[in-house]
Amino acid sequence: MSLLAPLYALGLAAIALPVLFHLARRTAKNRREFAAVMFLEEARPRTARRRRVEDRLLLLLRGIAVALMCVAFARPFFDSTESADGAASPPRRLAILIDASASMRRAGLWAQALDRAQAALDELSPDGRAAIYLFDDAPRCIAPFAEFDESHTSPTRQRGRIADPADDDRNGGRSGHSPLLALRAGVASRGSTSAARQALRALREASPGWSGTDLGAALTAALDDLARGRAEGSATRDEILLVSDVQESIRLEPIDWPPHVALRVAPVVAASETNAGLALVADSGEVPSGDRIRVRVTNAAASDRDAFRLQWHDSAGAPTGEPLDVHVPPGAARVLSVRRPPEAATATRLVLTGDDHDFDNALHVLPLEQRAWQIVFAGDGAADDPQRERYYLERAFPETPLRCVDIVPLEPNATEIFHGRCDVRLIVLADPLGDDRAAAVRRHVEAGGTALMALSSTEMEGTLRALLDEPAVRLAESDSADHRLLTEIDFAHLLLAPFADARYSDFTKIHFWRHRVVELPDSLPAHVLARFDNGRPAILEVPRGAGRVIVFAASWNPVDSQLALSTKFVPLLERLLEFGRSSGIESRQIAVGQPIRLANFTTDAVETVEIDRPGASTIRLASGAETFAETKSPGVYVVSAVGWPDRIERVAINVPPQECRTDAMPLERLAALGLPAVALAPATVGGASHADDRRAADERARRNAESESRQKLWRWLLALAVGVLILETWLAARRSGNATGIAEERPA
Amino acid sequence: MEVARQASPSSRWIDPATLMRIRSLELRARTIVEGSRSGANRSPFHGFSVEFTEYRPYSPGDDLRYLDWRLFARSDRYCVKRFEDETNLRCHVVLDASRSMEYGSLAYTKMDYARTLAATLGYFLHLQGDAVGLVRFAADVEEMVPARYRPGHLRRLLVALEKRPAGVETDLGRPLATLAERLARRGLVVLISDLLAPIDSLAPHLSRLRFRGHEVLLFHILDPAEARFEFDSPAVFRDIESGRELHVDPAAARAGYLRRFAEHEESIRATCARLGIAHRRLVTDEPLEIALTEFLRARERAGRRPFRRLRPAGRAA
Repeated sequence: MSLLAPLYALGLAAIALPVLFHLARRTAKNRREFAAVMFLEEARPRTARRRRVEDRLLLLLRGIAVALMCVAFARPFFDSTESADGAASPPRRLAILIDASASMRRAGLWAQALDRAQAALDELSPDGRAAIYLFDDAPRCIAPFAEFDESHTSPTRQRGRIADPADDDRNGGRSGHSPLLALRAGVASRGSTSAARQALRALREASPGWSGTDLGAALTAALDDLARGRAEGSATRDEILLVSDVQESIRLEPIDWPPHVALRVAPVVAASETNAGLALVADSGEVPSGDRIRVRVTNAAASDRDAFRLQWHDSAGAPTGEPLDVHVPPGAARVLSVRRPPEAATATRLVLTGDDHDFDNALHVLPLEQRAWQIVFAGDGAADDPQRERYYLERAFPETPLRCVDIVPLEPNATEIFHGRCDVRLIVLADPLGDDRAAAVRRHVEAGGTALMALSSTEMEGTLRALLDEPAVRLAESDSADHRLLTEIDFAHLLLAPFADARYSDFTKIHFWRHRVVELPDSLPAHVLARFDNGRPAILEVPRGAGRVIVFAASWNPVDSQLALSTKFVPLLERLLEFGRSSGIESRQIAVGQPIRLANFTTDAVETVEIDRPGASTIRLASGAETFAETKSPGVYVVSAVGWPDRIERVAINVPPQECRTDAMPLERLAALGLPAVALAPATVGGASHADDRRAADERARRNAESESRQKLWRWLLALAVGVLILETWLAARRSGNATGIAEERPA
Repeated sequence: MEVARQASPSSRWIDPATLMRIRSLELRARTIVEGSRSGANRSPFHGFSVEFTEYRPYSPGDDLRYLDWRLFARSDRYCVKRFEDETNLRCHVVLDASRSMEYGSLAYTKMDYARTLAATLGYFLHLQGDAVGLVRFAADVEEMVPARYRPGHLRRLLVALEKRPAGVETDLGRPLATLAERLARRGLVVLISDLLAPIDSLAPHLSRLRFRGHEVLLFHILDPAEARFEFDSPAVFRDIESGRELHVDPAAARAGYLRRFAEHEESIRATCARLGIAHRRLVTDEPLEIALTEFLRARERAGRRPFRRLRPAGRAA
């Protein structure tokens, strides 16, 4: 029995009305105030008592009449279609997205997530299909729809369990009542679907990683798979179940959501909300310099503690230096400047203690080390000859804690420019070279190096030709008697970009007494960065292979120009140094999931690169590998070139700082990002999705209306109510007749 | 009785008819009362007045002004002459303002009747030159206007009478105990109440008042419906004070009611007789002027009692 308009059932409250009327009538009748009640005793007239019994019967009849009318208005009917309800709806396809980011490493979350996924699979109807995705910063499908389809045709089905596949094999063939997760069915009943077996094992063995959370990518992947299946097959009810801790730092771009796919969120909640995180405050990839590093300690808003402690640990894991107490109120973040311990060379790990979840409590920081760079200088000038270029070059690069620039002469018979462990940033040519040495320089440039040609004389024409591999290059001495200035400076170019600001863009103080006229054939893709005021090119960039040659048409020796004495000289060379190719690793302080860029490390000379991962096997990469993307866990990775014992680089990899923010995001924010109305799934994941619910509810309402109009129970109920009312009237008439009789009988 | 309704609220409870009837009478305290002004009532203090009472042997320290030299000449004895001091009466009208007084089966309530009585008495005593105070009580003393004789005091009294009763139930014991503590000087206490409360609690407090030397008059105000209980149809009787409800068929309950009521009255009467309290039952359909006149006449007839307490001369106020 169901009600078509159940709101009318509220009218049952009207039963109270006759009762209220009855009580009101009783109390209002023959009431008399009296002062001397202390002398009275209760003396009830007999007639009144008898009338009250009759009143009760009347009351009951009136209540029944009201109730019948209310139920009739609620339009009851016998529901005959309930059993057919499930069969009518199209089969469901469920994509389960399980968050495997670092924040899911918190105690208990992963087990909850697996339970949620299991519950969702359990309540899937026999013809439903499911796919399972794990996602962190990238989604991966561990059980695609296809396998479920395959096993779906299996004659014997069994309810799915995330369990040991070996166990499954032992129990294989046992048939169950509720056929469900085809995944398990495939394994259990036939034991043949290796993909399904793998998926099952993958889900069982999966554990949350250390990466960030990119929900957008995961949703897009799942939507793509659902759309692909939809294009092939018939009408289905598509649904995505998101099993996640939905932390507020979850990455999600607005998605163009297809209307037919429902999204449910099954949030998992950690038992303890006290979580503090530690992150480095620095530009991406930059190794903090100086003896202090700036770290940010964040505390979750739901934390119940605010006192934490920071402690340095050395590479062996032993504490070193003095601990530092930090107070961070819940929901706040503090940036601290932490002094590196005296043993700065070995202390690589800053550890935070005091909270309940330690996945984000360690910060790997590379120790400070000075990097040696080389500038290869090819020229005749002595280091102490102020008339020549080298004198100024030596003085342009003072030593800093992070960098030591060494000016080394190009060896007279060098055929290869590669100075072992050192990092050749720049080759400076100030005098003519022999052909073989020029060829060596050219090879270096083509491999990605940078060469600076300071044309001190027209004799360098041959060298320039050899370097650019272009015989049509000509050099001539300029004939102008007056000094020249720089004009048409291309501040948009990376080399000169630092001077773009109006405060630094004045080059008119630099006088060029003499300069060379460079004539390049049009076939060379040369780019003029600056010209002299007579229109001749002053600074040229000529790309060669992966590298480039920068040509100064006038050198910086005092005979040619005032460049070396100007304020522009050192910044320009510094810029060239940065501009030059590094043979090291670009970003050495990165987050889990970001690739290690090896492009510059693996030069021609390096055959193989070894990457030593903390707590995992060492990986060998062949030469030419530009990146190493398997940065799946935090720690200090050691990258070494095989055969070059001194070429070792370290890369510190940390948990992404946004994973530290473990506070749950309000689910309304998902709706704001373009996701459909998100239904918060109950603890036991179940029930149809929101949109489908609505559709099914409409369908059910239509069917109910049909049943009701067929059965027309309300007519019978109204007839019954009328009958009851007639009975009531008769009874009331009889009662009042009796009452008058009694009144008459009573003696005055 | 016609309750006079006059325009001035302060005098609307004074019944001129009653006043005319009792004008020629006086209400005098039978016992000795303490006053501050010479008047018609006897004072416990001896002082200067015309009424000689007795001689007393002289003892050193007595004021020589009172030495009777003639007696000394006659009898060669030093005697001090003593006079009876007359004073004004300090009367407190104690009015029951409980909810039960608001009952009335006639056009007016018991409270109206009691107010008229109180106002008339107060005016009468004021004319007589006595100090009149008013005490209104319900569960406890609600308002107390001390006994004074001064211009405007009567008006203050009448304004106090105007106030609506705020009390709910009658408790005779507590107000009387409070009163006994607060009335320091002996005087006349006129208690006007319907006495619809157990009389047992009343007796000790009345006796305490008497014991402190006050003279107590008790006007027992009753509604004719209470006195005779002439209802005929069954009804729910609701207690005007407690809200208690009783289904009562008067035909059946009348006999029991009258019996219990008579017992109650009898016990009041007996208590009053025992304590020497003048008691008068006033049913509100009785004309007030007749009732009051009879009462005052009866008191006059009874005359003075030879009761007095003496004090040595010289310490008179």
